[in-house]
Amino acid sequence: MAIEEIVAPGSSVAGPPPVVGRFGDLVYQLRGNPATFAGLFIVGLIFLSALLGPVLARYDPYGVNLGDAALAPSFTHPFGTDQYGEDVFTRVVVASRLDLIMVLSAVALSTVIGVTIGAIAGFFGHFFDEGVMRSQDVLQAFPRFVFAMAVAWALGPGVTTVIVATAAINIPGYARLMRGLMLSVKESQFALAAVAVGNSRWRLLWRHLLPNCLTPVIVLSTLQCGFTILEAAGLSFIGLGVRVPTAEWGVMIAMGLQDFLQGHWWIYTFPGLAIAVAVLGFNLLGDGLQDILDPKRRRV
Amino acid sequence: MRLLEVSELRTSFFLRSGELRVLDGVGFEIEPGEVLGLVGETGSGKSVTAYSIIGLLKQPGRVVGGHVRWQGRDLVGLRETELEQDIRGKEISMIFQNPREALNPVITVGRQLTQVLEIRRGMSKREARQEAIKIVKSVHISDPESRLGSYPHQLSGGMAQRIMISLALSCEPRLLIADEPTTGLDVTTQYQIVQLLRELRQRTGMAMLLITHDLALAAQICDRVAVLYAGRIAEVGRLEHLFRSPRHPYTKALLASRPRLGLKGDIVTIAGNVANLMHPPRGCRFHPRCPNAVSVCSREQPALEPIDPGQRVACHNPVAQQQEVAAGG
Amino acid sequence: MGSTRLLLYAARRLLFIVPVLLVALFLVFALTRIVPGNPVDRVAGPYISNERRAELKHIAYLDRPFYEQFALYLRDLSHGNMGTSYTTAQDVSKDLRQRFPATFELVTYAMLFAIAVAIPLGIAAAIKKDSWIDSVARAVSVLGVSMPIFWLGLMLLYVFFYFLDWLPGPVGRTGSATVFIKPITGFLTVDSLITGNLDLFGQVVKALVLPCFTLGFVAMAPIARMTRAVMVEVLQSDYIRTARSLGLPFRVVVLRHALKNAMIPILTIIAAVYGYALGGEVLVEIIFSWPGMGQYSYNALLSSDFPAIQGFVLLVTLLYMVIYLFLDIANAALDPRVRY
Repeated sequence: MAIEEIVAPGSSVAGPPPVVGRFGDLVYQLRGNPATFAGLFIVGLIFLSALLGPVLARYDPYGVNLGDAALAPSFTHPFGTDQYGEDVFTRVVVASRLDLIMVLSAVALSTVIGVTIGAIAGFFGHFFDEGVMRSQDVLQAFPRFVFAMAVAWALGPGVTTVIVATAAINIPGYARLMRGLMLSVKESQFALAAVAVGNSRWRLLWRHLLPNCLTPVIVLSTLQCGFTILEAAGLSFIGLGVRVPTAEWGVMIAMGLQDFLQGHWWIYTFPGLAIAVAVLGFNLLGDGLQDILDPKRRRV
Repeated sequence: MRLLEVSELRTSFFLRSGELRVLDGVGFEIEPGEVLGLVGETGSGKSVTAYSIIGLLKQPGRVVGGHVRWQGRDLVGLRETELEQDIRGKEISMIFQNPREALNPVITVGRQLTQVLEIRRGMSKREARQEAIKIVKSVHISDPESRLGSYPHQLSGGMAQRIMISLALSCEPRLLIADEPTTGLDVTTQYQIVQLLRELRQRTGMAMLLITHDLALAAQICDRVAVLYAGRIAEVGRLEHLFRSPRHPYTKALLASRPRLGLKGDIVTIAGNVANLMHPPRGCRFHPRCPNAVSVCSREQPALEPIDPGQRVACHNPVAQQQEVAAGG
Repeated sequence: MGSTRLLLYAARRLLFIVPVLLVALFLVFALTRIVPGNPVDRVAGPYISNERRAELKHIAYLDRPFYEQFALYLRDLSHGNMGTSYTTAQDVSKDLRQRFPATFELVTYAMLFAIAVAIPLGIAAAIKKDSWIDSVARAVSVLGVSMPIFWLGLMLLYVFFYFLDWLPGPVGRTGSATVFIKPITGFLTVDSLITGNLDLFGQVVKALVLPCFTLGFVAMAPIARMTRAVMVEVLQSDYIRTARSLGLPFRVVVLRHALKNAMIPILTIIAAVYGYALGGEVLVEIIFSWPGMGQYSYNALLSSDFPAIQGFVLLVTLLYMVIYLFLDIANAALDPRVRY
């Protein structure tokens, strides 16, 4: 309960409390939290690049042109060209579409599966709970990236592999979160009231409990987007994900590594920068969402 | 010389919706060895007063004006290190509500006590241990040696409060601020704690500032009582005078609203809502709910002024003095 | 809270690792069998006779049903036999043992570096909230968590090796030194000091700088962020207020009261970061050509070296579980509210 609610429940005399609507509140929170705003901006930029980039690109991202190989950044090639003469800027922009699709798919997949597992475990409890949680324990016994590597290797290179591998390592996180939320919310007063009024179990789960667990899941998903970009790029970098010469940020860094001793730093620097900026955006946004949505951390 | 003199103390909380003026000119004094009760409803600013005195307000609170004179020395505006070294613990100590939460959960209570003794009183480990046992015995904790090895979550509420009191006493302060020390404890334990406080006061000659919403509690131990309403002192005076002959309408209403055995009919309540501290009423803060209100009350804030010997009231139209013991009210 | 009870708790938790390890092994084993094709074809090539192919399959147990293969693998494991690598033709356990020190040195120094910087930084940021040091801590946290570790490594290599030539390039653990010593512990920093070879020690340290910094910087970020967050919360708590009300010096309040409470979640995140580091160090080893287990696993993956892959995953997972075990015990020792 905020201090205001205890000390100023309603004014008997004098002026009305300031009008703060939902949108005004959002703007207020964003103003006090410039980092969040930056995150929102960056993510928006990425989406824009993914949507429009490949359409507006000047060069062919796969246009091999050995005469223009490994040119340093210039006006015609703002990010330079790689060792095959492909324009790095175009490839970075085109890659944003692929990476974004992979990441969103992976996060969506892991969210849906993980939340479902966790909700069932938490809601039905007992046998289900034990079983599910032990299985998550096993999955979490592996170091994340090593597990992703193993899965990706087993499935063979490709876009679907990246999606499945990165989704797989994220599932336990959601399952645990959802289970914990479900356990605490299940015992809460309003749940008790809902049952007393006569709601069936399914209705209780769907209409009453799940909406209350939504916020942390949203925050986690946003943050997971960032981490998944890193993992997807990592897998592609070592050749277990998307392969050379696909326009994908991780792949482009691998290509840059091949050429390292020539000193053509732009080949790997710009894709890496793109990754860092994208992940930064999602992290800032996720943190900001957490600040905004968690009443204890709100700007007061 | 007066031990503690608070005058015109103003404390505000700076929220997004504006400045919450929690304390708006609080003033009272405490003489050496005396027990003053600070009484008021939830939200009147009682705890905030205590934190303002020793400088432990949490964000977004801040003391914005006034003086807190400790033996002549103004604590408002004092540097943090000076407050820390000279005042806290040594001169003024505090005990809190929810004693189990106010003790460090991962350190044994014995260690918490001996640490203070070693650091603040420069004792050796052995000396500190002996002194700790002595203090803990003096607050009537049975089996002190093994108790000191417990962790806070292993203690009952009453036991934890006794440990808190031990901590507060460890540096022999001259003033003990007790913030709702019995809230949350069962009635029997409450009684024990109050008895303990009385005994301590007698033994050590320590002064006390007892903060509570419970008038009955105040009546058991206080010499004088100050009534706080919406960040200002409504009335202050000797306990018996206040209870028998309250001069402020709010005090009178408070006393009248106490539930009593043998009471027939409804419990008397105070009309209206607690004042909005963000946008307080103009003039006297109590006037919208006051049966004695006159026109000046909505324009000017009344100052705290002497009305009888030893009794001060902040009211434009105070209640008439009662000649005999007020029957049931 | 006796120490015997703690030991029993440790023993119970240790035993609990076994079933989890078994299931994990099974998972890895299953994964390797999903892979299309079979290793014999991959390793031996298409030009061998069918009889030879059948013979090789038989040796590698590949002609038996799945469960039998798994059982045989477990039996071999219990004798300490992890199988023979298809590429190095050595025992996998020997391979891993040779490469373990390199990885362990890298990860350990990196984690020590990360912790040594992150925790004081987090504490300072929490105490002086919204000051310049807070901004630095937050910047480090956010950057470290956002950067791809392999990109950071490359960039550092470029600046400090290619461009400035201050530090050795990706040539392994001894940089440009040509002196070789017989490994005693395998940990070159230790060995070179033991043998009094200060020149080699210098080279080894120089070679460690970039890889450790790369891994350490990324590890530092979440630890610093968690430290700051937890300290901020702890410093707002009631018991800290009590400690301050007694006039205890702020330094004591922070280090002896606040930190002890904060350590519990901080240790949790350190364990989690360790897991992340075990993955990230594979990438670091690849970039810096570091002759450790990570590089070994990478080569194994590329050449479908089943036993090697299994051995690597097994060992790394075991290591991670042990770390988590230590964490659980430390948690129980620190927090008296934990029942055991």
